[in-house]
Amino acid sequence: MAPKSNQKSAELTASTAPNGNKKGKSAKDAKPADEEPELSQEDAALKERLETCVSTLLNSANEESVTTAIRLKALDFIVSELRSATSSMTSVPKPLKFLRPKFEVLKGYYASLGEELVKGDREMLFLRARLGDVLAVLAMTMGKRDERESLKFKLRGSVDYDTLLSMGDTASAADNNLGSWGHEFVRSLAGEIGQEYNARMLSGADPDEDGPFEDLLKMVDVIVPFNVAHNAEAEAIDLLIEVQRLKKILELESIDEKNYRRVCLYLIKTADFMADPDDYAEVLETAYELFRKQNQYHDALRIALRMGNEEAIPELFSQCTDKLMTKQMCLLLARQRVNYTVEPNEDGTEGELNEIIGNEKLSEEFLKVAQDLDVMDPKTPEDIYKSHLAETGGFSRRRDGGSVVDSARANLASTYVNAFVNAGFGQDKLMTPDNDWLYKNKDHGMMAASASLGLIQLWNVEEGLAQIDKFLYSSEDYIKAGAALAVGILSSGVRNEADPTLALLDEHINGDSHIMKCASCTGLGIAYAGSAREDVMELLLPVVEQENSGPNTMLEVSLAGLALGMIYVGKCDDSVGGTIVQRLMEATDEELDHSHARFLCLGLGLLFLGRMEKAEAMLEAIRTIEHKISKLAAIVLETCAYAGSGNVLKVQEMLHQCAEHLEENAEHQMAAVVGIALITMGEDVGAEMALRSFDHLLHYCELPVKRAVPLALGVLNISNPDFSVIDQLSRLSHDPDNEISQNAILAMGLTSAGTNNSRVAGLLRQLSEFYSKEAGHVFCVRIAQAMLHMGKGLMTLAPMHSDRLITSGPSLGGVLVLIHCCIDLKTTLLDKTHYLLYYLTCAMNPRMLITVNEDLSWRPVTVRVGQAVETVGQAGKPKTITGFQTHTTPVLISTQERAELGTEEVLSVSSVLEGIVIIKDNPDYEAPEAT
Amino acid sequence: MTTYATTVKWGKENLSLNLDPSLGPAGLKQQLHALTNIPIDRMKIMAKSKNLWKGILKDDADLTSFPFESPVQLLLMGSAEKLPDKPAVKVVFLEDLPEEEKAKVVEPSGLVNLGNTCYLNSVVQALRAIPHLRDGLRYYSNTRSNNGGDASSSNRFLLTSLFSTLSTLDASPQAISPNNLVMATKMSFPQMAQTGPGGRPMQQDAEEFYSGVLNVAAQELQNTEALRAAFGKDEDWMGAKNVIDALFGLKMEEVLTCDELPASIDQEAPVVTHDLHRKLVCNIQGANEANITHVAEGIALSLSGKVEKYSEALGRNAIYTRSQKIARLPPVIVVQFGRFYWKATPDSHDHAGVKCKVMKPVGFSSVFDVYEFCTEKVKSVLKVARDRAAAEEEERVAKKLKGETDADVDMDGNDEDEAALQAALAMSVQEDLSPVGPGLPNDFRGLYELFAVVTHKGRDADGGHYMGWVKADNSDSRNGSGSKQKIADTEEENEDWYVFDDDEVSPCKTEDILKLKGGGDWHMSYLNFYRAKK
Repeated sequence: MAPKSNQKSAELTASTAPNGNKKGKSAKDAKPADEEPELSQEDAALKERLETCVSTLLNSANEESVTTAIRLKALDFIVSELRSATSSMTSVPKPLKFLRPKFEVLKGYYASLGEELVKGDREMLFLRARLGDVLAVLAMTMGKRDERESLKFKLRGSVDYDTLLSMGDTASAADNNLGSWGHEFVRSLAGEIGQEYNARMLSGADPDEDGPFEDLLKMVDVIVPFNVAHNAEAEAIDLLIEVQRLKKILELESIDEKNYRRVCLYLIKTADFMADPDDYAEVLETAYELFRKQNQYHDALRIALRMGNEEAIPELFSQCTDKLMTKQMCLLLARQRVNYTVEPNEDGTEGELNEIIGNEKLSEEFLKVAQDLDVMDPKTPEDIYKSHLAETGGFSRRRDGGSVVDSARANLASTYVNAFVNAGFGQDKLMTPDNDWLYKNKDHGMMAASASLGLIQLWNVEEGLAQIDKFLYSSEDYIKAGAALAVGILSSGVRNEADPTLALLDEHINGDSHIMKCASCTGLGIAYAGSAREDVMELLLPVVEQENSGPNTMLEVSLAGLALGMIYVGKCDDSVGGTIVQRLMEATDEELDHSHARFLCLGLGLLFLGRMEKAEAMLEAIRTIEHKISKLAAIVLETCAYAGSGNVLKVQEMLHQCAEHLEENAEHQMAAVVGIALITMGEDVGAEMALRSFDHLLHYCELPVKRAVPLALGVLNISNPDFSVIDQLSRLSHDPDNEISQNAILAMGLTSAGTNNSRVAGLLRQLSEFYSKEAGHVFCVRIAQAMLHMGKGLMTLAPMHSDRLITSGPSLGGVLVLIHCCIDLKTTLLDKTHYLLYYLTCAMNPRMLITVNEDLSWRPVTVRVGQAVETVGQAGKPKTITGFQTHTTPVLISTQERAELGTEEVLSVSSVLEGIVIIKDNPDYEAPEAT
Repeated sequence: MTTYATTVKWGKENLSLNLDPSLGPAGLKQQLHALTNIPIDRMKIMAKSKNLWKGILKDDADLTSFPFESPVQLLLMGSAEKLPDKPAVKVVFLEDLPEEEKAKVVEPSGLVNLGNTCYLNSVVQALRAIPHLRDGLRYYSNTRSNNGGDASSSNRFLLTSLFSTLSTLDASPQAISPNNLVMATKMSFPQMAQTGPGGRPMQQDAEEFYSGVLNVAAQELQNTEALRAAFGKDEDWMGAKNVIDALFGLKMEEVLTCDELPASIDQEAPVVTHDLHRKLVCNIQGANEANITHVAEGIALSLSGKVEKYSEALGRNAIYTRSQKIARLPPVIVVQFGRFYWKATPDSHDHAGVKCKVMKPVGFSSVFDVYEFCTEKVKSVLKVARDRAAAEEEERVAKKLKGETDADVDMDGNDEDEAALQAALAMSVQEDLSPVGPGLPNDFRGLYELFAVVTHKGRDADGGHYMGWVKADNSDSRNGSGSKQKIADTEEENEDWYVFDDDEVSPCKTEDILKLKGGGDWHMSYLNFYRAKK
């Protein structure tokens, strides 16, 4: 990017200059434009002097008296005039302007200064070197496009300077100073270097060797420190990326605690535009190293997690000596659900640290925030539906509330609404008071109801288990299965030394009961998502491998495969991947036709979530399957692998998939549409472009593709109820096609998840009336309402966190399970496997900001919360938020918001204010004197 | 024997005990049982401390083999509570119900439009809400075998298909097609079988259908048994000879007085005639001087008028004032808005006139007071109940006010009031309160409640669309036998209505009904169905 802009700016200066003159002239007197403007006396004198200097320099008359020393002096004058000229934005510096007509003459003279002329003549050499510089400056505006004359002259000049240096003339060589020619020159030069580098590479130079580029790299070595020292970090990085020598930045002395943050921020944001995975990794690794060099281990960890490089964690922990920083890093690992165990250390804090990583206190903190915000009172589903606000309020309520006859579908919806709304609060009004509600559900609904206890008790393992335990002894199989699922849900992302989840679910995995098996697989998948626990894997692998055909078997296989994918999300584990692929290859057509076989594919995709090219081999294997599912599996795998990468080529591939007009067997197209959203998520420009292509898909594609569009919109805006997207979804939610409208309704829930957004609440209420006779639609509306008010608005489903830098695998996985359910709602959520909804638990996280002391006790401080502003590459200390409000922690933060400390009194250990943040006193703080 | 200090986490509680490995798992569980009362076979013990057993402690585990270190941390799961039993009555779900049961709990079903049959659908939905009519039809279709000639057989077909349509509607959760009824209608009223260009059935007048059906029913439901079946008990039929007249019939008393007779001559008594109507007409065209804005004005207009008649006293034609009063009230009153009329256009080339529709708004309220339209005799009967109701209301308000001011002192006053009331009641009982119509209560006040509306939308009498709007029955036994008395029932706060747009049924509110007065392009009332209010 940089070279282009440099060039442009150079052109700009050149082209605007005459304009400026014209203007000045026409203001003075109305002379015709083509005549030479009348120069002021001063200017005329300057012009004359410069012309004299040039003629002296050229010495075309070959006068004897003009010695090299005199010519040097003349050149000196030109140089100093050029250097000292200041210019405004609108005009070319005067000396430059007056020298323009002489450019060709000087060029000719320079060419005449052959080697034999300067050989041994130190002064002549110096003259040539300086003249080279002058010509380089002049060529900046005079040179022709793509000829890179400026660079050529500068390079030749540099050679001369080097010769001077080798001759021991350090004084003259010291004149070889790029910076003295000003920023514009440096920028223009940098641009040309980039072009030259590419040109040389195209003509066969090996970019890995320094040899062919020595002269260029030398100049780079000069320009980069100059740029960094002069607040032009962005240009420095651009240049280094252009010449593929980014690592050089690590050697720079001039990167210090003042500017590393800007450098790193630029690097992080640049990484998104790297098409090649290697380049991408290099840019991030550079940022990682820079942070590490500055002892910013927390930030370094963020980068490592962004790259999915968990091997870096032990290294960072061993290097970090700052106790608070270590704790903050543990908090980050906890949010990311990384199953890392801190090695025992000398001061014995590993227990505490492991507790933090294991999220053991999460429930406690969440409840404290809830108390602080005064939202502890349980909410009933009716509080959410608010049917009294509907136009036909009392009427439909009477029917919905079931005073006459209970509708199993409506009660199931209420079960889920109750569970999601009261999630994590430990109390509700349906399930905890007595068990009447349990029996108001039918079969799988009963299972969902007893499982909802797990969600209500979310994260509170020990107390929650005590409540759920008794249901494990129920005589009703569905209740028992629900309780098993509840055990899994409850410990989602929480570690406990006793590991009760595994202990309790263990026996059922190998049991005979089909429904218990399904529930236990799903429970394990939810509980251990992202943990990569080997013992859990060993338990689940045999379930995937089992083969005695039957519809039930395939359901178990699929659910186990999905659970494995969740547990090993983004881990590329060979044995898991191998087993799933093996199973897919050996499966009979009948098995692959099963509606839930898609979840086996999703499991495989999740395994490679965000790992890009690592999925290539698996992709090849998948393509050999001779069943239509192979297409689906391949696309799911590919899009999962490139999730969040913003890879444009993959997006094009997916769009290409959608171009085919298929009426049936088009599930892979639906996956492709969702895939586009998945690939572009987290990168603003790409996401915006994706939004546009979705419009085209809606116009030109067949129904299957259209049906996936609302889902894709949902994926792009998880927990982020953007006005225009909600608008679009609201339109789609009235589509005559049932599946489009149902998906749009659920997508509305997804986009507004955990926000309590009143606009969406109103829209959903309208929809519940509009579709009051369509049981399927009403169910979708209820689920969407459940998501909207999830955790009473204290939670988020957004997988991106830490200033939207890191994507949490389990979070994204949980959302993807929902999305894949939506691809075929009729056989999943609207049928018996609606309990897959509980996978959303993995994506549920509190969206609070708490500030704490070193011992993790609360320390409320004032913070400013506002809309996040992009500050990449901006000069100075730009504001990071806009439209902010000042609050005292704890405070809720939405997806697009950012917080900053509102007081100088304290410093935060983490650079990002999200979740739990440790703060310490600012040693430099001086209390304002009392007046 | 070494023991280890142990904390056992159990839910919110922390139990502490001394663990003696030599006693084995059973011993540990015994200890815990003493502390928690959890049945031993429901205990699950897990280790929180490191290096102990994995998962749940097995009963045959050898505790001594574990490297315990004080303090040992364990996790106990299990609860002393027992899971409550299943509810004795199994919950029945809507999804499991048979169709006819389901129909009782979901919204009432609609009728499919079989080609411009909305005029029929809307009227049927309104008639559906009249249980007496249904009972009469049931009696009819159950008892009378098919006999008689062509006319009566087509009549019979019409009535039985109407009855079966009504009963199927109640038993079906989905919209049904009234095929037989439409066929029967076309047989009975050939003019309704007209087709327009292209063979499409033409739109018909809903009122014409309503009157036609009532005529047929009046012919067929003649005997007292039918009356008894319809009303469920014997009544004083007050001259009504068939179910329809008992239900809808308004006995009108018409008085003609000669305007031109000089006051001095008192020879000619006003001519009094009686007539039976099955509806009241609301004349909204109005004479030039009257601008009708409310249904009461329109009815008043249609019940009075001037006629020219030969006067014996004067020996010439004279102008007479005609005024009609209601002499007998029915349980159901239908008011027709005279929105359609024939406008003569002698200038047009093919026919002599066009059907027109009056679009202007005519307001109505949910309660219709017939008092002013009644004869003096009826009025006097109604007045007793009305006065009493007014007194009661006054008293109630006064009592309420009084109760607010002083709650203690009003005991005596209360007694007095009570006594007064008793006296009043006694008085009223003594008075001869003959009912003012069949099936009406003794204390009828002359108030009718709106329960169904048939509306028309469109500017054209031969086109447009009809819809039926029917008040929801909020009582639990909508179709049960208990509903027989419902006709004169009132539901104080029932604001819920259904609008039947052929097969689409949606709920609405009374306020939406009151908006059907016309004056725009939205639906406007054409037939209003009122029932007597208790």
